[in-house]
Amino acid sequence: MKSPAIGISTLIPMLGLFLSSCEKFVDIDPPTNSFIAGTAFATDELVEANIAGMYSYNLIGSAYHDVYRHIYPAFSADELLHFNSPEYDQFVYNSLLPSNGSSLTMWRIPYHSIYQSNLMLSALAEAPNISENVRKEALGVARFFRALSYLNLVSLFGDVPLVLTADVTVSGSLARSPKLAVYAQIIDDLTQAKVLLRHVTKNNGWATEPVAAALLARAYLYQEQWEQAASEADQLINGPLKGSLALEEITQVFLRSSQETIFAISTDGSSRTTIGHTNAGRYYIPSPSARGASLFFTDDFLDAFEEGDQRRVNWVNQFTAREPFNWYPYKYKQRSTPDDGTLAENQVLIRLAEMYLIYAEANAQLGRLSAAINALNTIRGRAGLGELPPSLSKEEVLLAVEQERRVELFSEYGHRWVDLIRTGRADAVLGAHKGSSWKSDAVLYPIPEQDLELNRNLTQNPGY
Amino acid sequence: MKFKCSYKLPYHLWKQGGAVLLTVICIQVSANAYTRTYPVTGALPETRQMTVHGVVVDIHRNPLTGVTVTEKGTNNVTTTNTRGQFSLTVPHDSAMLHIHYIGHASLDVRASDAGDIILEVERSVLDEVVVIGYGESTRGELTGSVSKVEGKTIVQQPIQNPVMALQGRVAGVYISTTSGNLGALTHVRIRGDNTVLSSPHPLYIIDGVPLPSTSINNYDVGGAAGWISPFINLNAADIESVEVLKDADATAIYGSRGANGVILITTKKGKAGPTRVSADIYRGYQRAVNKLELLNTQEYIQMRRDAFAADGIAPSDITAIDIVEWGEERYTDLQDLLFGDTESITDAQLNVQGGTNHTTFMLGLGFRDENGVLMGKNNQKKGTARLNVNHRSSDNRFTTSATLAYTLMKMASIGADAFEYAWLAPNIPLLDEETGLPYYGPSGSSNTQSPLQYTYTDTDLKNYQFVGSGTIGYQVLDNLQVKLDGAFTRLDYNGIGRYRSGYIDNIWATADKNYAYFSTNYQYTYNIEPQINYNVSFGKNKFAVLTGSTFQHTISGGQFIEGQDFPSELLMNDLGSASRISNYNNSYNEYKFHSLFGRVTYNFDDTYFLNATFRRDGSSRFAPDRRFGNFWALGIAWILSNEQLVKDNLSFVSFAKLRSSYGLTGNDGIGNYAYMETFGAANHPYNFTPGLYADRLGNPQFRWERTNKFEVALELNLFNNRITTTTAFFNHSGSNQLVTYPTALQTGWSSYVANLDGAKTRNRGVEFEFTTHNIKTTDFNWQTTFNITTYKNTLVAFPNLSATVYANRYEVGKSLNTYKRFEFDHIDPETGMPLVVDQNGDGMITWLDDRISYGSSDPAYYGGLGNTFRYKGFELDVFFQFVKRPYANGYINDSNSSQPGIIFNVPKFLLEGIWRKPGDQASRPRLSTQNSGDFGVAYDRYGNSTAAIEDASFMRLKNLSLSYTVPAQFAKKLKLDNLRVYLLGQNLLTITGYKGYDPETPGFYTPPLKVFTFGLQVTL
Repeated sequence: MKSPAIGISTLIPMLGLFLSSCEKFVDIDPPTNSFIAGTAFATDELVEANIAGMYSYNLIGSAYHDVYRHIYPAFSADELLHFNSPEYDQFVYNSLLPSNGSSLTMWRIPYHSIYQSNLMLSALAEAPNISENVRKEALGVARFFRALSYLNLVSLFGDVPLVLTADVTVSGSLARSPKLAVYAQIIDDLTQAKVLLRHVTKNNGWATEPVAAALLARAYLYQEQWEQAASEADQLINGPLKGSLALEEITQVFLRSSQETIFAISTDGSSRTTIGHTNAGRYYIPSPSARGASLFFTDDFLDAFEEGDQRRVNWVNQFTAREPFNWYPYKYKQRSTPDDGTLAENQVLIRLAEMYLIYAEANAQLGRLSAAINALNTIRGRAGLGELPPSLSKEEVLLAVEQERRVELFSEYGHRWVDLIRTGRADAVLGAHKGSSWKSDAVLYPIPEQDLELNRNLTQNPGY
Repeated sequence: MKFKCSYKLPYHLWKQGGAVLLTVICIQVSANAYTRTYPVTGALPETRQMTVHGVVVDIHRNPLTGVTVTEKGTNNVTTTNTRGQFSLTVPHDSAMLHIHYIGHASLDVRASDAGDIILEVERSVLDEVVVIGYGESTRGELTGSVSKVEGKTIVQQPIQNPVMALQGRVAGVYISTTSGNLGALTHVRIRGDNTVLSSPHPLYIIDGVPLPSTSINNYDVGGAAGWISPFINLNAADIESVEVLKDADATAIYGSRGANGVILITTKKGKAGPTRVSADIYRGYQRAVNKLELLNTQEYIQMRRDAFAADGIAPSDITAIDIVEWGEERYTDLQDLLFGDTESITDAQLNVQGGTNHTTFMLGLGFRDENGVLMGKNNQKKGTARLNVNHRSSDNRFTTSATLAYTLMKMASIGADAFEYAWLAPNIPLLDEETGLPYYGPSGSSNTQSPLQYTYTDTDLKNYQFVGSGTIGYQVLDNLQVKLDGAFTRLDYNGIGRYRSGYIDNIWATADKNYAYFSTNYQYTYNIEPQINYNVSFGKNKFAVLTGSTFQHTISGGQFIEGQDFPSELLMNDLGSASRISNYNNSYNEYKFHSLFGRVTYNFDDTYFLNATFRRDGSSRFAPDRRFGNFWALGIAWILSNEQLVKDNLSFVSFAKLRSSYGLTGNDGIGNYAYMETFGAANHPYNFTPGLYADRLGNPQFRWERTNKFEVALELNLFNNRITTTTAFFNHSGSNQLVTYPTALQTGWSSYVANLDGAKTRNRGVEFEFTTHNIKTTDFNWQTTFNITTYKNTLVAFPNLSATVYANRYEVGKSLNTYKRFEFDHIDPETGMPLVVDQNGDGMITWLDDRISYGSSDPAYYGGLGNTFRYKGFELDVFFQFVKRPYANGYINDSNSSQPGIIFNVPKFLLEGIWRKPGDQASRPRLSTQNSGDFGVAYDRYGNSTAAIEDASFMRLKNLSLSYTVPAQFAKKLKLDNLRVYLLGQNLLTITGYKGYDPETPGFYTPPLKVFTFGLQVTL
């Protein structure tokens, strides 16, 4: 055996070789198909990509504005029913559990969008390398989507945490803010967005100044700031856009070419899956091979139409393979991609008819009954209905607004549910419609159990 | 003194550069003691009386003292001196010498076999070679906790996944599968969950090469199994042995990667000698272990009518399509339809090996063709090829080896595990009478859709795995070896999923006619490990030093493309034929890992052992300033039976060893890039504009989690090793646990990676293994093996728990796997509603405040019992696996489809003891068609209550193997070396009180399979 010293003397330089290693052997680059936070807002191009990302998440990727927000509140109200889908029952019977997955989705998606808005707002607060028009556009879009998200949250859940930071260690433990504070933020965001966003006239699927104005009209109405609601709506009806923004024929309202559209999800060039048809069309129109329409109108709703209403003729359809329970929403005619593209539809989120109805309601509340009745008559006239008598009382006009909203805006964005709640009419209307399954506390969806568990500062809505 | 015997040392001894290995006895026989060696042919006249001089040494070339050498059949006996020498006069050179040494198996040598002889002793228990990290050891000298499973045990289980063959075999290792589908993932937990939410998987090493521990098919095209276990790429027949490293001492050399234990797979190597060709083929059948007794149509309709009556509602077209439209005539056994098939398995192996003293090779080829039990095409074909070549130079200083292994696997199944369709109403129409297509009822959900729609879906998965590894070693000095291990592995999973027009597009699907998914997933890894081995001894002191370094680099990624509306469904393999490409994605992941490691093993007098290991690990999964962590372990062992006191007084003790270890390890199993906030492409373009979107919430703050592991164990062999036992106590305590920290969704995210500062967890348990040789005669052998493990997982400390997001999930003093449940009270005798306890007495039942900690999903104990009987050529092996798991999700757990009365079938037992009328003291709630409203709320709580927890303990006849080896003389007549026939059975019998499908996979999954095969093995 040789001396151990020889072995050790060989060992030491070897060890030295190994020990020269370390840090550089574990350095990695960011994923090749990603940007890291520090660089994601570095150039105009990247900021514009982030803007497009916001549209994509909110309008295409989330199924929120074209599916969830349309269907579930319609179950909760007196509009839609379904065939044997246990997961919808909790909405139809107004007995949501705090564990309900769909109401969780309606909480989760807006808050993820709000995070993105907050991130964009903080990243662009100081962005010396970004040109001013790109920066303004980004701030405007961020504020617009934040307002849209909060308006949805506050409509469905009542008081909600007002998250204005992208720092999750702060936002994770925020308690609910009063509705009033949330609305104040919505109105502030939209007011600023109106200034920041592009002042183009023609809607093409992007949020522009008139879009922010229309959403602002909706927000004022919900908050019962009648004067401002009427004024914003009036600006859109009679303002500089008059002519290019106009009520369409009943049959043309949801087409891409519609002049009535204020804001719509563009189905053209958006999404990798829909070309020319909308998710609402996909959802409402039964599959040709099915044995029935899985979603269909309540009898009460079908009875709500006056004789001769063209909306009943054009926007409601019957699936003939099955009787009864077969009348389904037919505002969108395309279940699939049209072969020739002539009937290509966009998914409308805000349209001019709603502005007329906002204008009517706000004016009725302010006692300007004839202005209100005139606006209602415009909408009725387009549907082939006669004019309302000018002698209606304020209460009667408000009921006429409720009725007109019901038959004009049905199967769009859950308007009926939000209307019945904000006007305090839910108990009267839904109590009669649903009977013993109705509970007054059902007007607010439950705060998801998951978040109550993770944020002990949250409180549950009454009745859950 | 020359020891030419060393020329014939098996390769792996050289590979270790003289590390502690097999005990080998070298005998040198010489007429003229110690001065010269007779040639092999023997130069002495054959019948002359002669004196045999020899020396008996072990592999360390240490002489063995007191070895008995007897001329066989006589009283002519001697023993070796302190130098290991003996001399014995025998009457002729064909006399047989019997060599016997305590603790070692005896052997016989012919006196005339002069020259260099290597006699590999039949391994005694102590000398059993155990593969450890970066080396080998023996059972006797180990300081750490290592369990070994022989390849034979794995091969005799006719299943596709070799890891599943370890089930029940190893103390401290709990293995379960996710379902009985082909390719299903396995869960392996060594000594409980040592981490909260980091990767709980052990490290898998095959011949020194790390393998992925979990599925890499990130982009999935559908298919019954979902995520695919990477271990189905392994070929059971290639495996020589599997070692499971459990404690800190054994795993520390792998540093943080070994935090959850290590599974070392060693493949077969060629042996010097004539070329041997062997073939092994078996064929058999398999089916699901269990079906439930569901209601038939009449019983089902009756239940539905009763439920409507109980609700006070008349069944209508809208609420009761099953009663009103479907009629009471039709009945389909949907379980039979979906997974009732009995299907075939064929497995064939060919093995060629041989070589010279300096070069050996082994070629293994395998083929397996297996059909799964699911409806539609359900098949897996696997081809494997493995070539191993070893070489050492004529001066033995230079050694090299290379192994190339390739697996090609194809798997086909329907588009999903349609298991849930087994509970549809038994009278659902399968086909639409008008269209002839699968029936599509008016409901948007599966309860009115025919399961036959899945016959319009199919998935093909192709899976390739290449593992190439090589070693170059050089013996710089007799006691110093430098070595370089290198390996490259590549895995590819490519899939196509086709969804044709008879498949009922769910409401979210966007294709009009049909669609197909195309995916590719890849992962490749380089692993380079230079090492230095150094051995030195001074008298009774022996040191073995290992130092080395690891450089690992892994890249993984994939692509996903969806094509829609192919004009012809025959063209659905052709992406170019799609009317449009509707979805596309790619991903990329990079991981680097680098470490320095060192190990010093100290052996004093082969009685006292000390093993110290250090490893510094760096991982790219942490932020740049937090990448490196230092881990270490210390192991000691004391062979009590070498002490004179024991030898003198406890002669029935053949071996006793006390060992203990303590160490610190970490875990980086948290996914790549978790510290970076990244922005990726938005899922869809908008208005022709592609976008960017925040897709990962980074946290640069987190650092290595720490687990301290302690073990103390006693190995005790009695009665000449007839009984061998190991008893181990372990205590693992974790701190700074890495978790995916859940956040309230109001943040915009559901979680981010963080450390749980201050929280302490503990896994404490006891393992016991024994083997007894009950009967050991020439013709008849009976051996029993048994192992049992019990452990308890405890959350020891969690500062300020009530203020954290975990307030409602965990409880200090309880297991991390505790169930949080409502406490089931009783069924209201007046209303039939299930009631739960209002824990805080506020008059309201709330999710947050009224649930209690109730049991945990941890098994109370588990293990296995095997008996092997050998009679002449017959061998019978019977192995039972047992698991005591008192708390598991029962049949009614929180699943709408299990509520009796709604439009789903239920097993008959769910109707036993239901409430029927006021005054009933019932054990189950009343029937109801409602899963919302007051009853729905009450039933939902019931499903989340203690009543939904069931005992899922079971005992299973896991494996039965009966074989017959044809006597050698008959085999010879057939010109065969060996001929063996066998019957194998897997999961043949399950004894359980569990009421769902299978206690191993509680819940709703295709249950494991029962397999029965017949096989033939031939060696030329």
